[in-house]
Amino acid sequence: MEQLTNPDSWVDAYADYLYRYALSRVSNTEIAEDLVQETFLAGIKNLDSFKGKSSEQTWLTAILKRKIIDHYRKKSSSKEVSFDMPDDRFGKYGSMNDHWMDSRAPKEWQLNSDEALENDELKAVLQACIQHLPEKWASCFILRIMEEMKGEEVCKELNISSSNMWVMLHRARLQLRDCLEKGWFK
Amino acid sequence: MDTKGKMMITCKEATFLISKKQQDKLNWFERLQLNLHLMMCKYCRRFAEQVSFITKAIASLKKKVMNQSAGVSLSDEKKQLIKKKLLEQKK
Repeated sequence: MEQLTNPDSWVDAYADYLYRYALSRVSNTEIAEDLVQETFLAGIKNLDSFKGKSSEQTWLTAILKRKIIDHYRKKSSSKEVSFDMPDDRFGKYGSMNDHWMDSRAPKEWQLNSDEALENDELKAVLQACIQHLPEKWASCFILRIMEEMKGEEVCKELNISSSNMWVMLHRARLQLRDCLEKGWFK
Repeated sequence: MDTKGKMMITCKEATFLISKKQQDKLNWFERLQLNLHLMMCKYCRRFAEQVSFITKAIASLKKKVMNQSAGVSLSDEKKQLIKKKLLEQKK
């Protein structure tokens, strides 16, 4: 509790952790820095609500999470996305209609799953791919998958229907897979 | 997605089900549709494997972010700025 009354040590103790957390959830360093700053400022404003039940770090992380949700809520457009929207990964005509185009279909990954999961470079590529998700799919993906919010909460915060959410999550996955294949399994 | 009780689904539909399966349980009919499709489609089998790998990789990435003690850090410049702002706010 004493640390909280001393902003200097507060920043020294938690800024890096909060920054790394933020950076894993947003698309660039500038936004992450701003979110960390806002988190500290909100923290000091709401010191009264810190009950000491959780650790300072947990408490500050909870504030940061809220800031991340707000960040994506502001960006979200509640425009409908439909499953039927065009996707050039899949064919358009005749018997190929809605089946994988050979040129866009998943290539074979030379993959030892266990080894790959330990590989830090692969994680770095994956993180970059997540950061580069198109904005329209990113909000949903970050909140549902990275923040592990419940589906209903995500829909409420972003003001989208649940079928919309499923389509967005799916689009984000298609994109991530493409990105990882290009960036890692070439 | 509306597959209207049809047995044969397209790759576009199958990939959607594969994706959905990462978060949610499919109902028995969706499972039937998907498994039937996977038996016949090499690309979707690959897609399914790769997506489930990505799901695991994301879990491991999140863990790494939480445990990381060195490496990425906030610049000193920004830290000083935040300290200054906090002091101002306290006054």
